[in-house]
Amino acid sequence: MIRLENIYKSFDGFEVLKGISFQMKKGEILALIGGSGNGKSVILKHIVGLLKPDQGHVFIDGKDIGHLKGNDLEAIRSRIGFLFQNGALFTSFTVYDNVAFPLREKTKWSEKEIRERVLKELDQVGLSGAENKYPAELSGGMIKRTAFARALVTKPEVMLFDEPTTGLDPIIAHTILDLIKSLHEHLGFTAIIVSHELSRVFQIAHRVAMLHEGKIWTIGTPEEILSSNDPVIRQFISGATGGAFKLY
Amino acid sequence: MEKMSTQINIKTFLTSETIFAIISAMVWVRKIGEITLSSLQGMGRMGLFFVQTLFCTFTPPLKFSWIIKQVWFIGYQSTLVIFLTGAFSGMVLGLQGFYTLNRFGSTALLGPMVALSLIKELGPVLAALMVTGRAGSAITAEIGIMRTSEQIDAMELMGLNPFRYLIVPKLFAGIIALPLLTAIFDMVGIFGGYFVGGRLLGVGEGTYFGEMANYVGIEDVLEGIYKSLSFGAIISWVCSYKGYYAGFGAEGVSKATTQAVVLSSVLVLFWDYIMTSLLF
Repeated sequence: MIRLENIYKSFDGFEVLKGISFQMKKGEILALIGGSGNGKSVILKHIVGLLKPDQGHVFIDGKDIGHLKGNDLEAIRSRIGFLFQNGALFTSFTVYDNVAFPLREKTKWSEKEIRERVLKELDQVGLSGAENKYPAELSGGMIKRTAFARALVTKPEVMLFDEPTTGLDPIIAHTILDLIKSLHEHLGFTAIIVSHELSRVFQIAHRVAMLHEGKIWTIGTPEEILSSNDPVIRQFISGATGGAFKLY
Repeated sequence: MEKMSTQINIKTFLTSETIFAIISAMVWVRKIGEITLSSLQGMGRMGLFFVQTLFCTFTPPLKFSWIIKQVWFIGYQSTLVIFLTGAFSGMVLGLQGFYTLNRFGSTALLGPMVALSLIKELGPVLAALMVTGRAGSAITAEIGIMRTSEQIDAMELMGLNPFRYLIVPKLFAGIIALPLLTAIFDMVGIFGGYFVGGRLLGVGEGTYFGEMANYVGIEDVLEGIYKSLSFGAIISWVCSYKGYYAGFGAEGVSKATTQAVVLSSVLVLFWDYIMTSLLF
């Protein structure tokens, strides 16, 4: 369903991605791990066409997203949900309006139908009763959950989660990852999760890809990664300082 | 022998000071080249931004509720500052005009002088500068924050064109609001001039407004309207552009806001000169 072929990307002469290649099957959950500043979010932005690779291709169902424009690009994007690191909620809208916005603008549904769907999504992420709050009145966890509801409201086939648990306490972080797991079981979307919450993410991902020095250092099942003897992987998983792992 | 003297001349010429001067000159040429290229790139990007805005303006759907919201923000919320600026500008014109015209014994022409100055020049320009300071800076900051907090990216990923929702409504609002605000500015300024010239300094009401009616023509009013329409477009365009391409974080947004206010103010004054030259 998703295929990345030899992606290279530089910013101001600094090469962030140096030949990224991997592919995913429909319904699969891939955890993308690696040190901060290694380009994990950059990979997600390439998949949705927000960034164009200097070299290489991103294919979604065989279509090269780097070469799509206008309605073709919109059509692909409407099949993808993206949870941004900071939520990216519209600050002038209430929680309800944030979640309703894509439905109001992209469908011809009546306000009654939209209301039913929005309230259902908000209930699913545990935000019933918060409809009239503005993003400035929400906690970090509530912002992430609202963004999650907004991303899910159009029932996307692919979900990209950019650090969905960063800045949250362990209980809310686990709640959000459990939510991803249960919604995946229910909706069957294909997902990439960028996260540093390794223990939990290893439980819900089918495969794990580790990004290091601008390359996919390793990719495999959680069991394969956990049993690896590679010093870089071992150090990253254990969180030890002063080893083979290069910091950025 | 001739060859030897040429070698000596080159050696004499290539002193360390000369080499340093040549390198410095080359560095300067390179810097000038870099600045020229980046300015041209910036102008090209600004031009493309405007073309893209126009394309979305003339292709449906137009987001009317977003346009009304912007007219309220740029127009209605600027009324007080326009009222105050107009009143004091008119009062100063009345005062200065009265003493200047008094030297030539023609204070009867105070009305036309105040009205023509305001309608043709000061009204459109000062209203535009005040709107740039009040609403233009807010437009840049709003779009800049939306850019840095990935709200614009989120909109794009929903398959929605941010130009339709963010830029086009602001362009329409600028074009609708500026002429109305300029009209308020002119009106209040004319009465401000009358208050000082007529009520305080003794120019008759009939003389002030009667002479104004004799000397001010529809072409003068149209000149002011044309100017304010184009200033509205300039402010919305420049301030939206600067916000859309704002740099990272608070520093990027604050820098973009400053640049937007300075650039749109300068462009308003520059365009005022061009229009005045063309319309006379």
